[in-house]
Order: sequence, then structure tokens, then C-alpha cells
Amino acid sequence: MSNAFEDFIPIPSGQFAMVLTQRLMSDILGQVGYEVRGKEVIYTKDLPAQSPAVNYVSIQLIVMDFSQYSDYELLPITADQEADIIETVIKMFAPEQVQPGIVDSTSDSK
Amino acid sequence: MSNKKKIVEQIIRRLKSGDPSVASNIHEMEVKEAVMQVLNSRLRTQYFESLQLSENIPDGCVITTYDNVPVISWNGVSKSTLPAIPVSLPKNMGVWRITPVPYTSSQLSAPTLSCAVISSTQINVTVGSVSNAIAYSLERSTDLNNWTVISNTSGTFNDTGRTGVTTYYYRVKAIGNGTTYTDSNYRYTTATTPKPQLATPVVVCSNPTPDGFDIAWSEDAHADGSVLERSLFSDFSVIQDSLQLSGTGSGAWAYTGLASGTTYYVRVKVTDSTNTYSDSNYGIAGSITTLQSKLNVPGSFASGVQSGAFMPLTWTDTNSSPNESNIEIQVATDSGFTNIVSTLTPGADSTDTSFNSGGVTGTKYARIRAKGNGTTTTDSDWSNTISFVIT
Repeated sequence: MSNAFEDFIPIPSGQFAMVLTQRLMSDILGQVGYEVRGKEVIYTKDLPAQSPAVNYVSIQLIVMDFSQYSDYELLPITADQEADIIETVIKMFAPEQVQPGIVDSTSDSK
Repeated sequence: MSNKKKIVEQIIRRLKSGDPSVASNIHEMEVKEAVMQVLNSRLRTQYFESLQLSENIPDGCVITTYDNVPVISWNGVSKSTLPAIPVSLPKNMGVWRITPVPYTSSQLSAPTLSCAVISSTQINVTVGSVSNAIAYSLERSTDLNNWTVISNTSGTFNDTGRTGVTTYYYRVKAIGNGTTYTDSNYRYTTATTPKPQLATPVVVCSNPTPDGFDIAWSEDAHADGSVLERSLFSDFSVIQDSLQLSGTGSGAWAYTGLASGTTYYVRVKVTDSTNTYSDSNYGIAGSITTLQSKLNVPGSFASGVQSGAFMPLTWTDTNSSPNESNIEIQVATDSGFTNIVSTLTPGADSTDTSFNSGGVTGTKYARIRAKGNGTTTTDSDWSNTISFVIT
């Protein structure tokens, strides 16, 4: 579960520069704001330079339900996720190897 | 990014290459359903109906979560690239929520720590290096309660100024950067300094005589005894004589009764009977050689009764071989022995010989001495001069 106080604050498009120039606003009560520009997200702070550093974020996106994607529409997944999905599904369908029985005349097992 | 068709085809192709009979029993629809399950699982798909947030959100939309999206510094701020394109909604609501991924810090491993006691006043402490440590905290204590930081680096630290017969505790930890790496646990070690050691005496030998020599040495103020060892070998592999002298101020000794013309080696250490200080190291003097001893003059040197050209000479032996190599007798025509007509060399321990005058008449003068061996003995003095007449 995410902590609401840790969530970054969305800034309406075009107001990013204004926020940065207003000293009282720019800190946003110590929290981090962000603006979406096309496929990029710009944050109001240099997160990797902060202490503690923030080098990764978790992003939630609203996308179409996967069941509504046609066979040929690009899915909203990264290359890593695609590889992970393929390997996981293959494991689901791959037959399990039957372990050979142990032949050991000295063993008590029958 | 890819689509369902390609993903499903790839999976079926992989399964066929492993076991064709397996793929023949698997339908594409089955695989597609599995892909959807895994897709929803990996992206933690949430439906708005269940979140009761469906207002303003078109039907058929879900929330997906993408973890560990990188953030890079950029123009004094920072930015990320969206992992996928969200649906287009007013106010960029397609990007539903962004939260920082809490950094995870790992604890540094404790550095290795070892001690080497160098002396009563010095302990060398060696701290091993640890990856990702920005510094170290090497601390010393004598009671395990009060600690003093003595170094902030890895490597060997020479802890000088210590006190003898004291146990010192050392501990060290690696210092992390406080964010991704936290400080290590402490690693401990201990070392006890030995008793202080008395200063090594400086030894000097002097005044060799045929049967001894003198020895003197400097003495530590805390010493109350000395040990003198004498050997015929420079490496003291065989100790010929060991003396223990007590009392302060005993920094001198006279050896007597030794062999003449012999090289001796002497070493001295000083001691403390109160056991407050440990014995000094040996101070080693250079070699000293006793003087060669002078042989005794043969006694009762006399001439006998002439027989033909020969005059018998007799004496008593006062030395013995090997100290005496032989006897030397000079016969001259003057008492000053400037005109020596014969030098006789009877063997060692002999007591008589004859002077062959060759028929030359007149008064002859003779004297005798014992000849030394050249190593431990030197020649005796000449005897009194005797005279006899050859007729």
C-alpha cells in the first residue's frame, strides 16, 4: 500500500515553471510535484540527489483492460515485463520432468 | 512493446521446440488466457469498480502498476520516462499515481581486525578494507566502556604510547554513506602489552692479559643484575661460562684463569629481580684475545767435561710441550753474543745436548731459552750466560 503522504503531487500542464519560481510554492510543503510532458514525467526536485536518494519510482497508469486489446494492438508493457510473462507462461505449460527412482541396494527405502 | 499475438506465438514456438507433443495438446486460446492472467498479475491490475473510483473514468479501464521506473537527474530537477502510454484523460489523469520506491539500505560487513604487539609501548592494529565503506572507526579502550577513536582509515595503525602490562581492547566498524549503506557492526580484538624491557647494555672488553681480560657494560637504571656469558664461538652456540651478578652498579667484571692466546666472545644482558621489567636483549661485545704467555727460562744451564771436539751442555726443563716448541742455545765467542758461532735447537722437553767446536779452541759463551709455540706462548727470556774453554 502506498502512503498518501509519499505520493508525488501532480501539477497541471504549463504550471511547472511557475511552481519552481515561487519560493513558497516550490517546496510544496516538502513534497514532490510532477508534470507529465508527453511520455516523460518531470519532477520538481532532483530526486537522485536528495538524501535519501530516490532513484526509482512506482508509477500507476490508467490503461485499457487487457481483455479489450485486440491481438495486434501493442500492450502497455515493457520489454522486461514481456520476457517475464513469456517465461512464466512457458513454465505453466511445460511438462514436469519425472525424477528417476533411486536404485540403491544399501538403502532402507523399498 | 509487443502484442498478444506475437507473445502467444513465441510461447507456442518455444514449447514446440522443447517437446512437440506438448504443443499439439495446447490451444492458442489457452495460452492467450494464461498470458492475460500473468499480465494482470505482474502489473497488479486493479479495476475501478472495486476501487469505487469510476467517476470520470471511462468504462473498460484499469490501473496498472509499474515498479522500479528509473529517475534521472535533469536540469536541476529530475525526470522519468513513462513505461507505457496511458489512456488519454483530462488533466493527465492517465498517469494515476507516482510514489517513490523506498531506498533499501544494506549493512556493511564488519572489517577484519588484527593486532600485533610490537613492544610494551606499541601495538600495531590492522583494519581490513570493506567495499562501499566511506570511512572506518577504529577505537581503543581499556575497560570496554570508554572508547577513543584512534583512526578513521583501513590499513595498519601503529598505536604507540601504550603502557606495559596492560590489556587494550580495540573495535572497528566500517562507516556507510548513511543511505544505501549503513554502518557495519563492530568487530573486536584485544592485545596485552608485555613488561617493558630493560635497555640492551653496551659491552666493551679491554685489558687482555695472558689469562684474562676486563669487561664493562652500561646498565639500565631499573636493572639490578646481570648475566654474562662467554663463548669460544661468535654465535654463542656453546656457552663456555655463564655468570649471574646481582646488585646494581655491577657493570664491570674481570675474567681470569683463561687460556692464553685464545679468542673469546662475551655477551651481557641485564635483569630485574622485581619482575617489573623483562630482561634486556644481549649486548654483544666484539671478540677479545688473551695475550700469549711467556715461557719459563730453562734452569741449571751448565757445561760438562769436554770430550774431543764436543762440549756437553745440560739444563733442566721448566716448560712442557705443546707450550714449548723447542730449546734454543746460542754459542758465541763474546759475552755480548755479537759473534755467534753456533745456534743449537734441541727438541721440546729435552735436557741436554753437545756443542761441536770443530776443533776451534778458545773461550766460548753460551745461553739458553725455551721457544714458544707462537699461538699461546712466547719465547722465554735468555738464561744467564755461561762460559767454557775449548782446548
